[in-house]
Amino acid sequence: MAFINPKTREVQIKIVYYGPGRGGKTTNLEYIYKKFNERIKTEMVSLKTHGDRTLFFDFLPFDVGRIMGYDIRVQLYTVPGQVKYDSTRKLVLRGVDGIVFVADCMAIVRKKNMLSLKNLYENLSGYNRSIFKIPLVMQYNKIDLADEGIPLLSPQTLDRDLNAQLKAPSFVASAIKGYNVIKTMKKIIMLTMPTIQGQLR
Amino acid sequence: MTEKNDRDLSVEVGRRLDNLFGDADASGEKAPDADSPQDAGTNYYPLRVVKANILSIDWEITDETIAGLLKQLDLLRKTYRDDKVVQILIQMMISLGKYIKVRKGQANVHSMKVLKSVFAGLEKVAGGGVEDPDRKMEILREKMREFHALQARVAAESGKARSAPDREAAVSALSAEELRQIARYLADDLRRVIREELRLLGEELRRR
Ligand SMILES: Nc1nc2c(ncn2[C@@H]2O[C@H](COP(=O)(O)OP(=O)(O)OP(=O)(O)O)[C@@H](O)[C@H]2O)c(=O)[nH]1
Ligand SMILES: [Mg+2]
Repeated sequence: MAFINPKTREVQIKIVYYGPGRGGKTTNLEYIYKKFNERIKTEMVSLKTHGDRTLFFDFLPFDVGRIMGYDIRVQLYTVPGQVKYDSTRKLVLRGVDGIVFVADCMAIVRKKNMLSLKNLYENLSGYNRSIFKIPLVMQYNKIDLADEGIPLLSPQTLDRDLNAQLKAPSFVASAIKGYNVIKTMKKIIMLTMPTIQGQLR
Repeated sequence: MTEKNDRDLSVEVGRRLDNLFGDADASGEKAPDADSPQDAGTNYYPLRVVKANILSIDWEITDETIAGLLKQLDLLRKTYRDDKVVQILIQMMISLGKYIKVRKGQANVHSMKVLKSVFAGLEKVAGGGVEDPDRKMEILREKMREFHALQARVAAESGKARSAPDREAAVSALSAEELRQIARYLADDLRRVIREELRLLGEELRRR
């Protein structure tokens, strides 16, 4: 449920990028930040650990503006993908409005994608929320590696592995090149609109 | 809010997002183009395999992924028997691979970065992207510097582990003796690489 402050008339939309370690969640946010920081005028907060792995989360907030008397603010979060940081993942998921599942296209990580999705399902269940009801977008990342002859999973395979039942909108993407990063983000924000409208009513 | 306002909110948010981030379809994001010119190196099949190996290690360090890399590097070394610069670059990668294999998650934070960087050099030199011998030597020296810097860091780390056994032992599953072995191994390896480098420089000078 979005956080709505009736006094200050502020609406916070919380989007979480979820997915296996090294899938490209942080890179999604970094692209958005690098390309648009002049326009969105905020800072990105990244808590990193050993090397460039995410320890707690990345956080990138920005204002959409005042609409119908409400200040609409979007908060993008990433979770740490490494298996051992499950408690942080749970924490970050609290109060989430929409989820981008960043899957890694590399053939060698096929299983990890599925395990991470299962982990998402379980962690949402912990908050009594259903993965089938929450706004969700699938992103199949790193397709640029096809150019380099790296064995990749096709979008069809990924759809079959991850999205057969969920039937969420899906995009192939290259976070590192920015391909479909913005599209993914817009899509997930728009998917949260009906619920937020419901709350405002 | 009324029903109409509800729709308006969604439309308006969409409009604002377009204003902020541009219309996604026209924001200059282009699909990676399979036909676009690439590093000559990455098109050469054995190098591509090595690259895939490195990516998989970057993703997860297991005995299996590293064994895959070491095997490919060994093949590559045979393919490039006659190219000294390539030989040294590969040797550095093998050393790094073995070090990462032993230390796994405890490996120095920079070791993957150096491995990738040396590979980038190898891609240029072995892939035919760089042909000028001076430029090749320049690349080699640059990668050697990175390798040396890492070696110094690793040596410093293993020294620390010996002087502060309690804390370090808790962090690292390796015994002081194992760490000493690794340091010794790296030093031996490094000496080999440096010897190669000197010989190569000598040959270069003789040719001039
Ligand atoms: N080729 C390619 N590499 C990518 C892409 N996206 C991310 N990477 C690389 O993959 C690695 C991991 O990316 P991150 O964004 O840190 O991954 P993450 O999902 O945040 O990882 P954790 O924080 O460990 O969960 C980095 O080396 C990125 O440069 C992509 O679209 N293409
Ligand atoms: Mg991250």
